[in-house]
Order: sequence, then C-alpha cells, then structure tokens
Amino acid sequence: MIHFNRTLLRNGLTVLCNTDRNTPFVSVNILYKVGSRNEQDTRTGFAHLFEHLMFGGSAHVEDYDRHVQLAGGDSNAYTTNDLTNYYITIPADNIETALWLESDRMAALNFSQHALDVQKQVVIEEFKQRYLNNPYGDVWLKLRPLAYQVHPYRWPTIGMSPEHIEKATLTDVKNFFHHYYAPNNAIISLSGNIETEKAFSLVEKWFGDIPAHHLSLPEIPGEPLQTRERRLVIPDNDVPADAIYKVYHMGGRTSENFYTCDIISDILSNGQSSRLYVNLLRNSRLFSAIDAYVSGDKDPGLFIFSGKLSEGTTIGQADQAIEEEIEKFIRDTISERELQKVIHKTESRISFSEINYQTKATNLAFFEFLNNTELINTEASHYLAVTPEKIKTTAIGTFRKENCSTLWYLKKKN
Amino acid sequence: MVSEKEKLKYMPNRNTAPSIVPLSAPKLLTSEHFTLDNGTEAIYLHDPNQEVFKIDVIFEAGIYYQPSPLIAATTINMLGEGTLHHNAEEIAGIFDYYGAYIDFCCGLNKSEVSLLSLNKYAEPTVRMLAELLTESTIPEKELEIFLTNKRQEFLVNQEKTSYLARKKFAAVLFGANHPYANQIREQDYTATTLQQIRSFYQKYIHTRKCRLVLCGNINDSLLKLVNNAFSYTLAPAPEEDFHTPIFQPEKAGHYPVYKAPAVQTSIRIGKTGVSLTDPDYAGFMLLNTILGGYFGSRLMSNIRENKGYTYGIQSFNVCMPQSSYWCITTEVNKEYTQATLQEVEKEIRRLQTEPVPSEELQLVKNFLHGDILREIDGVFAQADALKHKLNYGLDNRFYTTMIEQIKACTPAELKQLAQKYWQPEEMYVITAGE
Repeated sequence: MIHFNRTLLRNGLTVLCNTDRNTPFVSVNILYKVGSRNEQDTRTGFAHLFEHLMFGGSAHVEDYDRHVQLAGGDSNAYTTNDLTNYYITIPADNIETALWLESDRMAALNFSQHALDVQKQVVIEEFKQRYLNNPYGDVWLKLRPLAYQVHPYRWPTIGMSPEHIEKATLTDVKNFFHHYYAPNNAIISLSGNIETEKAFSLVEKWFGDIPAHHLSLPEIPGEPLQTRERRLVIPDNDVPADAIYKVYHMGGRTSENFYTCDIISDILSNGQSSRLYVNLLRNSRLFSAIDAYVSGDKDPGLFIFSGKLSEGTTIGQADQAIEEEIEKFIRDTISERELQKVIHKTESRISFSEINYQTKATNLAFFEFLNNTELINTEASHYLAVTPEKIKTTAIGTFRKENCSTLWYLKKKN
Repeated sequence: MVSEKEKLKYMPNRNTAPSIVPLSAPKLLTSEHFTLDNGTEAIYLHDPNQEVFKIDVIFEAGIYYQPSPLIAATTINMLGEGTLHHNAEEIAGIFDYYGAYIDFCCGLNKSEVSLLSLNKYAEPTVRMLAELLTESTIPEKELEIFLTNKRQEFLVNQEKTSYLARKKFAAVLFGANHPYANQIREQDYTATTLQQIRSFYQKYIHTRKCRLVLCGNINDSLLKLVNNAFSYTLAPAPEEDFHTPIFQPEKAGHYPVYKAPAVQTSIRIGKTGVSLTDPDYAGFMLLNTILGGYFGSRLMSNIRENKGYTYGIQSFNVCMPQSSYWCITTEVNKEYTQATLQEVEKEIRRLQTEPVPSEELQLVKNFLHGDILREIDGVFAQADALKHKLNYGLDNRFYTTMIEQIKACTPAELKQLAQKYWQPEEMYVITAGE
C-alpha cells in the first residue's frame, strides 16, 4: 500500500507526494502529457527530439546538468508514444535545486539554433545506434505502419525516418513548447525523504506563478476497426535467423480488456513454465526465443507475439505453430493453478515495484496521467477480477484473423 | 497574517541557484554474519520494513576456472533445468507459482544463483533453491536446447559492431587464451559435452564451499529455514590442482575489426585499469568521472553535445580479482571515426597537462559523492555492494573512505594520475565497422 497525497495548483499543475523515509533522496518526476502520438505524420520523432532540447538551458539556468550534478543529483528523461517523462533524484536537502531547474525550464526554455542543430545530429546517431546498426532493430519501423493505418501509433517515438528529424526548425520547437509544455498539461510527483506539506509548499513556491496556457489539443484520430488480415514479408536482412511477429489490436491501458489481455500474455509466455516456452521452445523446439506481451499504450494498443526461429524451422511452420497455440488456448480450459500462478506473479511484481522510491514517483505520475491515481493501490484488484470465462471471451474476441497483422522478417539467403 | 520575511521565503528567486547543502556521509547498514550448521558462511542485511527477501548463493565457479569456453556459464544456467525430484518445467512452475524470480549469473571469477521472493512464500522457494544446488542432474535434452539457442544469440551478437569491438579489446588486453578474454567461437557451442558440464558441476558447485548473501526481510524464521534447507549441501572436497592462467597481452596499438555494412563505428580505447585495493583508486575514479564518467563529462560535452558525432560516449574502470581494465566506449557516425579518436586523445592530453579548474572539480566531486550515495541506497543496494567488496577482503566502509579521499584530491594529484595511467603508447584502440 502506497500512501500519497494529491493537490492541484491554480495554474492546473497536478502535484503528488509519497513520503519514504528509507532513503536520503527525493525523486522529482515531471510528466508532460505529450508523446509521439501528438505528432503530425509529416513531422514524426519531434516529441523525442524536443526532450533532448529540454536539457539546453532556460531563462535563468545556463546549464541544467551542471546544477543537478553540483547538488549531487542525477537526472534523465524518456519519451514514449503517450508521454514525456523527466526525473531527478537528489539528496533531500537539495530539493529546491531540482524544483528551481524544473520550474525554470517549464516557464521559459532557451531556444538556440546551435543546440537544435547538434541535438538533431545526436538523435540521428541514436536512430542509427538503436534502429539501423542493430540486428532486428528496424522491425518496429515496419510493423507499426502495418498494424496502424490512421492512429499515430503507426510510427515509433524516434520517428519514421532520420529525414523527419533533419527537417525540424526552431519555429517548430517554439510552437511545440507553447503548445504542450504548460503546467496544466503536466504532473509533478515526488517520492522520498520529504513531508507532503513541505513538498506541496515548495512546489507551490516554484511552480505557482507559471501561467497556465490555453490548451487546444488536436483530436487524435482513432484507429478504424481492422477488417482484413494483413501480411508483410521483409526478405534479405543481415540477421542469422528468421523472425516472426503477429500482432492483434486490443484495448487501451485503462480498459478492462487490458487486464485480461495482460493475464493472457502471462499465461502464454511469462516465465519458463509458460505455455509458449514449454510447447514451442522446450518441446517442439521450433523457436529459439518466443514471447507474447501487451504494448500497454494509453489508446487501444497491441497484443504481440514475437519469435525467433530455430535453424530448420520454416517460416510457414512457425506461423502455423503460433496459430495452433492460440487455437488451443481458446479451446482448452485454463486450470485454476495456471490462473493463480499468473495472479501471484502480478502481485509479486507490484510488491517489488513498491520498494524503490523512483519507481513510486514514476508510477504515481503515470497513473495520474491515466486519470486514476488510485490505480497505484488498486491495480491488483483489476487483475484479481479476471476469470477463466473472461479470458476465453477476450481471447476469442482478440485473436481473430481479420484483427491480425503478421510480419515475416527473413534472413538473407546464402 | 504572513510576515514580509515569510512571504519572501515563498517568492521564488529564479536569478540565483538555491544554496546547496553539502552531501552527507553514507549511512551504512550493519551486516550480520552467521554460520550454517554445515559450515557455510552467510552474511545478511535485515530491513524489517520489507516484505520480500533476496538470497544470493555465490560460488567460486566463474569463467576463470573453466577448462574450455562456455563451461562455467552453461553449468550455472543448467541448474534450473532438472533435479532428482523435478524436471525443468516443474522447477520453473514452482518459482512462477509463488511469484519468485530465480536468476543465474556467471561472472569472470564468481558464479551466482539469486532468488528474489516474497516472505510469505519463503518455504517452498528456498527449498527449491537448495534443491537446485544439491540435486541437479543436468539433463541432456535441456543442455542441447540451451546450447542451440545460445548459439543463435551468439550469431546475433556477431552482427553487432559493439560486440565485436568488446571481444577484440579483451583478446588483445588479456591475450586471447586467457579466460578473462572469454573468446567464444561458433564451434564451441557444438563442442561442449554433457560430461564437461556435469564434471564442472561436481567439482565447482556441488561439493564446493559457497557463500550466502541475504537481504530484505531476514527474520528469524527465514534464517532457520535457510539453515535447514542448506544443511544438505555437501562438505567441500579438497582443493584440486588448478593451473593459474597466464596473461599474454598483445602489443598496445590500433586494432581495426572489419564489419560491413555498418552505419556506425564502435570504438573502444583502453588499457589495464586500477584495482579497488590500490591507493590510487579513489583519485583515479574521480579522474575517470571528469573524462567520461557522467553526463557532463569532457568526452560527452565535446563529442556529443558540441559536435554531435555520437548518441553517447563513456569511460569506466572494471576491477576483477586477478586484473582490472579501464576503457572508453562509443558508437559514432562512421564519417567521424578519425575525428573522434583525435578528440579523445586531445581530451586525455588536456588532463595530463592542464590542472582541472576548481569549479569543475567541485562539481564532479559532488556528483560522484551523490552517485556513491545512490549506489548504496537501501538494503538491496548495500547488499549488492557488500557482496562485491567481500571479494577484495573489504566491506562497505570502503565507501566512507573513498568519499573522504575524493574530497581531498587536488588538481595536481589528478594531473599526475592522468600522466601515470594514460600514456598514449600503452593504449589499445579498437575500431569495429566498415
């Protein structure tokens, strides 16, 4: 059980605090409700590029990192399809340094052509390092546009291509900042060695005078129902083994469907006693690696099967084997012990996540972003509510051919 | 009525940075020692606020001791694949059912089996852990699956320039035949035999002395359970002759590794490092941090933030019981490989010839101090840190001393260290790519 308090500043900034006396640190986490799903399809990768620019200084701070380090702190950030998250862990005594830095860059970020030019290059190198110079690295660049035709989840956070990043201008940067980096589009959460009262008054002190922006957030187009099976084959890759991906549309992060699908994915592939591992890797040995998981996106996401083929397995066999496992899953009843097992696993995963104050700060902000902060303590009950019947109906509804996109990622033929 | 003074306190002054409170000394948790009835040494850190615990079982059974490639890592990973009473699926099923995590890890000198579990399920999970160590059968089929799938992972790695650079670096620094170089070839996956694995298990796990490190909620009932479950482990067999491997490094210099196509070049520059027990250690860590050990380091500022050649560049020092190494790693736009090498050289030379400005020095000292406090924050982190220090006959008081030494380090000392440890003619330079 995580005890937390919540308040809302007049400018619309949501503030959350959890006191944890087991650490001398405080983690300050700021979530902006903007991710790659808010981008235009001609300017993809921008939210993530912008995250890099947030470290380029602000009105009263020439060098953001220098002050973090001087205070014995550490900071970083990440961008997802749904959000951009910044965090600092800092000795509790130096909490005001963190709040000064974060409030200053929220109020008035510096815009510099030089910083933009350099960060564009850095992000392009990141693109290469993760997606191009890495075996199987470009899979999601191909798979997303197959599974999504309209919704911006059809591109990854890094963007569709390095060209989009090259095109970014300083005007784009300024517009993006004014559009999305506002107190009323952000959540600040603190966890660590600090009293709630003190945390709230210090956040009020540093953030209270930042004016709210008028937010006119563009509507995000919903993905139309998929009505036909989709298939894509990518031949001639520099990889040692063929790989297969089968993805199915499922519900968004807060839907009941999400919890059921998450349980299904655990039964199928969480741990070495799971069905796919035992049947396809250990027994039939068709695969050298096999996985089933859910994307966990805010908007309706994907249920993903992915596997690497053993030598000698044909891609057709692999595809059929996954389909047969799905059929079996729908046909056979789930034993009480199997369900109990994944519920225990989920409960223990939640218990372990409550140990670390940084995780708590991040989770508080994330659940607030989903408009239900209480989920930090009630998620387990959503999993407990999943029954074998629900699993069956959900599997039948999800694993339909016309709801599926399949990617065959093939190695170069000798 | 709020006084003017109170009001000021709540008006942010953005023009000057809030004053910084000096960082505190680390709060070290007390570790307790106890000896199991069968003589096994156990060390634990207890935190009653936790509802989970972790047990690491540590064996002197790392790569250093293996008679041929892959043996040590394969053996430790096979422990979960079958015992006299349970097959692989049942073993995994038990840990999974109780929401526990079991992990097998093979290091250069030590091998470890770790269990992370909820206290309420201690009984079945601890018993299963003990069974893995005393009753493993190493089944043939599971071994073959493991090696086949590992071979495929190896082939994927061979496609990565970063992997090729790391492998080459270890080969030239330690000599390709030294176990620390851990040179694996594709044919090793088919050459490894059941006999080799079973014999390594017998010799280094089954009858060898191990050490237990426990942390989390280590209450009396857990200790009792551990004592009971592990009492079935055998007494250690007498030490057999072990031929100490010899380091046979290549000459320092540039070693390119060709790999195409590659849009980036992986670079590794380094040499022998500084041991944890060396009086220079704290000063060298400070020096390394200035060069490439944090986000604002000289290498990051120059090569990423100023020139945009890379997504990241870092330097670090790694200690092992028989040796240590220090190196810089990065992946750069292939057009800038030469330019990057030149800039690295320039940054090292600057540290050898110019004193570090006092403002930068203070900043790095603070950062490193904070970093050490983070490294040993909480019962799990302190247990991990302690486990590592025990290999050098040290404990976590090491950190208190290190912080004091870092605080006292002067620009002149740093310059001397840079000259002592970073002579250009001693450097190995690996570039992997087109």
